[in-house]
Amino acid sequence: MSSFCCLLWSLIYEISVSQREKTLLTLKQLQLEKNMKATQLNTLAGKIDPHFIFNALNNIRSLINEDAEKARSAILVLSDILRSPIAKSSQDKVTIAEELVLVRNYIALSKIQFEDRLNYIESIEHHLMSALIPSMMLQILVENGIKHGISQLPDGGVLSLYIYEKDQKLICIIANTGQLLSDAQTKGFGVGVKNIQERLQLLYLHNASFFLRNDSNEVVAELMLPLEYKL
Amino acid sequence: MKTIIVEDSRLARAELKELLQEYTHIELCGEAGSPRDALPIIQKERPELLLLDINMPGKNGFELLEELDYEPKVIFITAYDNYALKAFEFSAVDYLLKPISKERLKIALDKVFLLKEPVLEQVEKVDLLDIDNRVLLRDGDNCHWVSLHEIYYFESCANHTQVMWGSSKAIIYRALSKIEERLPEKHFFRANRQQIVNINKVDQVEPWVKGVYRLRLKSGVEIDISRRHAARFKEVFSL
Repeated sequence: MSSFCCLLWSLIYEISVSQREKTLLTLKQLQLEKNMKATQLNTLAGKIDPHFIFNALNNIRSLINEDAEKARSAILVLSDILRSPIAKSSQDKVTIAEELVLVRNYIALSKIQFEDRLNYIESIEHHLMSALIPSMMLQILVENGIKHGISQLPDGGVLSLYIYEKDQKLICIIANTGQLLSDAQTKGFGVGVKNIQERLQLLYLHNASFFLRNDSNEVVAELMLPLEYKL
Repeated sequence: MKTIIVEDSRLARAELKELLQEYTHIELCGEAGSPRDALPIIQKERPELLLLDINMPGKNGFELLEELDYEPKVIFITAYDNYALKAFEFSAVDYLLKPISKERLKIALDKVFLLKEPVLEQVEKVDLLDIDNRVLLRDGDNCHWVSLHEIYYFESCANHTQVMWGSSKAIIYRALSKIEERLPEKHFFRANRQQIVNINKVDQVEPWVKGVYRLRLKSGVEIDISRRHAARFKEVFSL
């Protein structure tokens, strides 16, 4: 009788533990989705900052008079941005190569808006092109570097993207001329940083990190991820 | 009409200039890519009209206006309409969204020229109050029958206006600019975007930072006259 009781109890215990694990898993999944939603709202699903789109349209309209061929290609770039597969997909991670298509298009259109004020430098270790990163992560960082950095400087500046491998980790650095204001934390910047850190925590637990800091005359965003490749 | 374009995208400026070509009475006397570059040109040319972008490097369009010592007519031009309310606080003539159509620009410019015409008829229509008039003010269930003499100042809060007199205050459910139209301008002065002050209640005037004056009222309250309004203050109250 007592052994039967014991069996029953351990059965109930097992069920409740697996139930709890299931709940935790669902919870994590839900948190990821929620964070992803927020990210998408902030950028592409909302989608890209409407300022960006309307400025682009306005510039293209002007380009039609000045350089029709350039206007024609700008329309293609804008179309590619608006239907970027990354923005629509619900997958958590994409390859660097996939993400770069969007980032480069975004830069190309921003160059039309900012002209000489925006200088872009890119340096990526080639073997990392198929490495995985959280989707839209580079895009958000580049967008912020332009919006809060370059676009605020009357004489413009440099936006650089470096991606390399270090101690089996994937390092992405996005730097822009300018300085973080001391009140940046209160101005919504803090929310963006927190959102990124939260997303990394959900995707990689403690194996990833993100920092934003002032470095001489630059603002540097540094992302460190475990090195993973698309299978 | 002397006009200056302040807009950070060169292509957007080119587009505007193209659109303005057919208006022979618009005399474009300068353009700038940032408030920093615009300020000396505006101070030198003193244009009557500004075509002004809002998001710009360094300072935004509103901050540029705050720095001027006069009030040009302003048509705001922006890519996205999350600033419309604020634009009207700066008594914008109009607010245009990029890309701008010919037709929409014409409406805006027509408004500018209408403002140039003397608007005698309209002035007569507004029922001007005299300083000896009394007005009915309500706060909650209480009614107050207040002489304009007693009022210290009016202050805009959201789209309502708060009025302060004696040691009381009340809310008027009208915009500050609507109330301004009915006040005798000899006695009530628009000190800044938010406040209209009863000149007779001013106890002291002190020069403050960068062309700003600070008024100390008899009630002890301090009110700053912004740079934009300081010029008119000097004009009206100097001998």
